[in-house]
Formats: sequence, C-alpha cells, structure tokens
Amino acid sequence: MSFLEVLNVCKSFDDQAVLKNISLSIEKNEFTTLLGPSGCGKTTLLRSIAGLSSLDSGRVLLDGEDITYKNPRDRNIGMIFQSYCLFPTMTVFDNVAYGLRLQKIPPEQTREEVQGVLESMNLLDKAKSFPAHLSGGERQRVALARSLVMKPKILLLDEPFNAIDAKMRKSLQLTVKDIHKEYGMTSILVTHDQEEAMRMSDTIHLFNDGVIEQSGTPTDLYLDPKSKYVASFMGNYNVIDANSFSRVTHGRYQEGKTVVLRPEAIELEKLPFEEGSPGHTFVGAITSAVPQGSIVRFGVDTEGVVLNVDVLVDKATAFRVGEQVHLRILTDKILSFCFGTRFSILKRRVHD
Amino acid sequence: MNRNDKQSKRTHLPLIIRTVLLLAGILLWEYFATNGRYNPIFTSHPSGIIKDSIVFVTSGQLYKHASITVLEVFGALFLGSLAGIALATFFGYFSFAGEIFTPIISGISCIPQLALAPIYVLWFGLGLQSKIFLAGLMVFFNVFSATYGAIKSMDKGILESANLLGASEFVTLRTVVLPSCMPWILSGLRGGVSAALIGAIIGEYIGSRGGLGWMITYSTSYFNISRVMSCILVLLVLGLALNKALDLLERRVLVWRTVTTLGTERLKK
Ligand SMILES: Nc1ncnc2c1ncn2[C@@H]1O[C@H](COP(=O)(O)OP(=O)(O)OP(=O)(O)O)[C@@H](O)[C@H]1O
Ligand SMILES: [Mg+2]
Repeated sequence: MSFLEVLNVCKSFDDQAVLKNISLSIEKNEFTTLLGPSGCGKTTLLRSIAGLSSLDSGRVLLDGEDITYKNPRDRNIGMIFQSYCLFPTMTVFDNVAYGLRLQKIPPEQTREEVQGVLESMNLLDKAKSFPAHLSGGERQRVALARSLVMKPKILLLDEPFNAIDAKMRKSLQLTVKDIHKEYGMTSILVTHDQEEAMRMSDTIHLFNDGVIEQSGTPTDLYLDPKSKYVASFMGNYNVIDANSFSRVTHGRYQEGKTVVLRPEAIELEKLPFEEGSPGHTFVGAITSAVPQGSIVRFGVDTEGVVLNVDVLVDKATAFRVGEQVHLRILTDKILSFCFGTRFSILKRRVHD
Repeated sequence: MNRNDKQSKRTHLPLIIRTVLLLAGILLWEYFATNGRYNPIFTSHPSGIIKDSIVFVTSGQLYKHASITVLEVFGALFLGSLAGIALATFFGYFSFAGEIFTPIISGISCIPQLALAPIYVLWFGLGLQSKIFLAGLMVFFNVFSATYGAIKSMDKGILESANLLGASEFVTLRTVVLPSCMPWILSGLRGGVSAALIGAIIGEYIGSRGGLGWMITYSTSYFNISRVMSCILVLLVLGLALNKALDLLERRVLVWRTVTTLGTERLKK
C-alpha cells in the first residue's frame, strides 16, 4: 500500500461538483505535483488531504491509517498556503517555534531546532523581524521553515511561488527541491505552471475540472499524452484538425483524426529533403520568430495552417522571417486522437 | 545621528509653541478677570482655581470624591471590555448565534445610554453599581463592535495554519486571534475611555452621594465655580493619564505592526 492513498473522493460546493471521484496514491519520498488550470479543484483536494475541508464521500489514508475524520492538528501534515499566512504578531523565530512550543519541547531544544532550520533557509539574520517587514521571498521561506521544523509526514504546497519574481522563483524551487531531498520528505505541490511541474516533480497528476486526466512522470506526460487536453496543456503542442493536416500533407494523411505535434518534432531545412525520405515533407513560409532561451520558436505557414516549430538557437540563425523553408515530420512523431475525445484512451501512433 | 537631530528639533517646536499659547491664554484670562473687565463669578479665574484646589486637596475632599469616580471608571472599563471581548469571541465561534444577536446589540447601542441613566439609578440605587453599569455598558458597546469586526475579518488561513501546527481552538484564540485583534481592541478601548468618563460623571449628576460629578453639581448650586473648575482639572488629568496609558500599552503590544501614513514618502536630497 502506498504512503498516502486518496480513495474515491467527492466534494461539491452548493451543487457545483468540484472533486469528482478522485483517487490517487503517493509513495514515500515522492515529489508529486497536482497540475491544472485555475478553478479545477487543486486547492480543494489539498485542503481535503490536510483535513481543512470535509469530504462528501471517499477516504484518505496516510501511512496505513484512515485519517478521513482526524482533526488537522493531529495529522502532522504541513501546509504552505498561497498567501503564506504567517502569524503577524510574532517574530520570525516565534513563528517557526510555534508548533514545537505547543508540543512542550524543552526551550533549549526548541531554540536549537529553530535555529537549525532558519540557518538552512538563510534566515538567521531575520529571526527577530516581524512578517510585515519581510520581502515576499523571505515570507515564503519562513512559511516553509515553520512547517519543516515540525518534520511533517507530508508537506503540502499550494502555489507557493506565485507572488515571486521569475528569478527568485527558480532559486526557491531549487531550495524546496533540495530540502525535500535533504529531509527525506514526501511533498505535494499544487501549481498551474506546466514548466514548474516539469522541473520539480517525480510524478504529475494533471487535473481537468475535478477529475485526473492523466498521471505519470513529467516525461510520460510530455512525450505520451493520453488526450488532446493533456497534449495542449503539457507543452506548446500543435493541435491540427484532420482536414487541415490532410491538406498540408497533400492528401497523404487519411486517418480522419485530430493531429498533435510537438514543436521540436518538426524538422526545418533551407534545402529540400532528399526524394523518398521517410515521413511527410512539404514547404512553408516563416511568419514569425520568437527567441525563448536556448531555442527559437518559428511560426511557419503552410496551406493556411501555422505550425509552431522549435529550433536550437545556433541552427536558427540561418532562418529569416519571410523565407521559404522545407519541413519534415517523421510519422512516428505524430500523435492523433479521435475528434472530441477528451477522455480518449484510443491514442495510437500512425503509420502510413 | 543627523536625521535624529532634525527630527527632535521638528518635534520640539510645536510643543514650545503650544505651551506658549496656553500660558498666554491663562494669563489673559487672569488679567481680564482680576481687573474687573467682566464679572468672574461665572468663570472663576486661574488664581482662584489654584487657591481652591489647595483647599480641595488638603481637606481630603479631593481624595474622597476622586476615588469614587476613578473606581467607577476603572470598574466600567474592566467589566465592559471583558464582557465585550468575551461576547465578540463567543459570536466569532458560534456565528449562528452571532447572526441572531449582533443586530439586536447594535440596535440597543443606538439608544443614547444617557437617556436611560435615570432608570439605571432606579434599578441599582445611588451607589457605585448604577454608574459602573451605565459607563460599563457604554464601554461594552465600543469594545464589542471593534473586537467583533476584527474577529470577523481574520484571515482564515492563519487560523488553519495554527490548527495544522497542532493548536487547539482555545490555544489559537489565546496565541493568534486575540493578539492580532489587539489594534482594534485597543481602538475600541480608546473610545471606551471617554465613554467611561462621560458615563461616570453623568451618572453622578443624576443621582449619587459622592464623586466628582456630584461635587460639580453641588458646587454649581452654590455658585462655587472655582471648585467646579478644580474638578474639571482633575477630570482632565484623569482622561489624559488614561490615554497616555493606552499609548504606552499600544506601543508595547503593537511592535509587530507597520504604521501606515497617508501620503507618499517625501524624497530627501
Ligand atoms: N469555500 C468554497 N465555497 C464555494 N465554492 C468554492 C469554495 N472553495 C472553492 N470553491 C469553488 O471550487 C472550485 C475549485 O476551487 P479550487 O480553489 O480548488 O481551485 P484551484 O484549482 O485551486 O484554482 P486556482 O489555481 O485558481 O487556485 C472553484 O470553482 C471555486 O469557486
Ligand atoms: Mg488554488
């Protein structure tokens, strides 16, 4: 049995079903992410695990024990809220020491443990400050320290990096990941940022309107999406309907299913591909070029369909907007789905 | 260093101007009253007030009457704020009861309590109780509405954080809720201080056997305006002392707060 088991959990708010029969299991020391768009029920599930909101039906098991009806204070679960929720009247030190003091840990030991965790968070010089005088990133680290010092069985993080600038966010993501490893923790992160999920997780559960659409490793979800929804959420996939794709390939594509293509799976050349090379080859015109770090994303127009194509920077300098280019799509890179099947399990690779 | 110097200069100047203005006013009052420019029987005058004050103190009258009023004010402040905080907390936890009763309470608080003062004297007699009840009720309304509003607007996530860290509801109340409601409770208490003074004095006007309010009505009926003014001086000192005490309390209790000033920061060269 897994470390945390969520079994058939349902929850509605005034007739609006928010969690629709959710089940998932999480192993010890795993870093799990609940990924999904705004309002799909991620926070609600996290709060149910913490015991902060009651369930309509279903059960939650932690470490082999049914905790569905256990008071949050007896669960030993740590949670970082979207808005940090530090105690405004206490100093950083007192915030972090709060839980230990409630457990009647001797003051000497409390001080040592608090200082230890503050040090690893790089917060020692802020120990006497009040939350109102801290920056967003510092508050976030205090919130982390306050939970970590309790050595929780599970750490729940609800979009903790939202209010933080991009650079700080990356370093905090690394901090959280390091601490996760160092303390041998089990963590669940909620986010709607696909890149953040890819960077941090061992496992991703992708949510869609109260159900889990697909679960798996980041690579699984990226390379092998089980539905159009997953594909469009997990990257900047090109989603092309059957008719258009048939037109692009000059009628060679006959499957009649919507086609999904990763932008880096399309090859771009200035010279034509050799006659009889595998896959679909065709020509197009570059309409846009957007540099994105180590790659450049080109928009290429063929037969009225604009495809996103990613090219590594050093190769991309050869192409200019307005130029005529040659494209190739290898058939094993094409994913196709029956039209309208959001819950399709019928994903198949196409070979013509 | 430099900045501190500038700041202390700036804070001293208004104080000096204020003192000079007050002294000038008192001197003018004395001058006009003693030179027969008008009849001081209605207003008395500074030297007369000082003379009377000395008699007031040495005869033991001041102690006797002031202690009565002080007792009423403190009793009202203590009981009124205790009841206000307790009831606001109770309604915070049992919001259903809160929904039923708070409109009634705010309705009652709209009745001018002073209008009911004669009835309270009938109920509780001429002693301390009627004054403490009247003033305490006024303190209660102030503190209750301030505390209840603060509790209602508490961030739920903070309470949940405490819960997840192992705090029971009572511990959360003591360590998290009440401390973070302190700014509002204190401002309710500030309103309560003036309410308590008014309640005690008016209560004594209406029916009592002693106290500064009683002394004021008694002296007025004998045209002893100097004594009235002495009493008012004592009330002034009492009010100022209570407010000062609140200032000190506020500074101690609210170290965690950032104080907002309206207007943007001036850029200094
Ligand atoms: N206490 C509540 N009362 C009524 N409706 C609620 C309550 N909490 C959440 N909801 C509703 O449940 C749905 C899911 O909310 P939830 O907070 O779980 O979304 P989320 O996935 O965390 O979104 P976000 O990424 O924006 O935080 C929303 O439509 C929301 O309006
Ligand atoms: Mg949320």
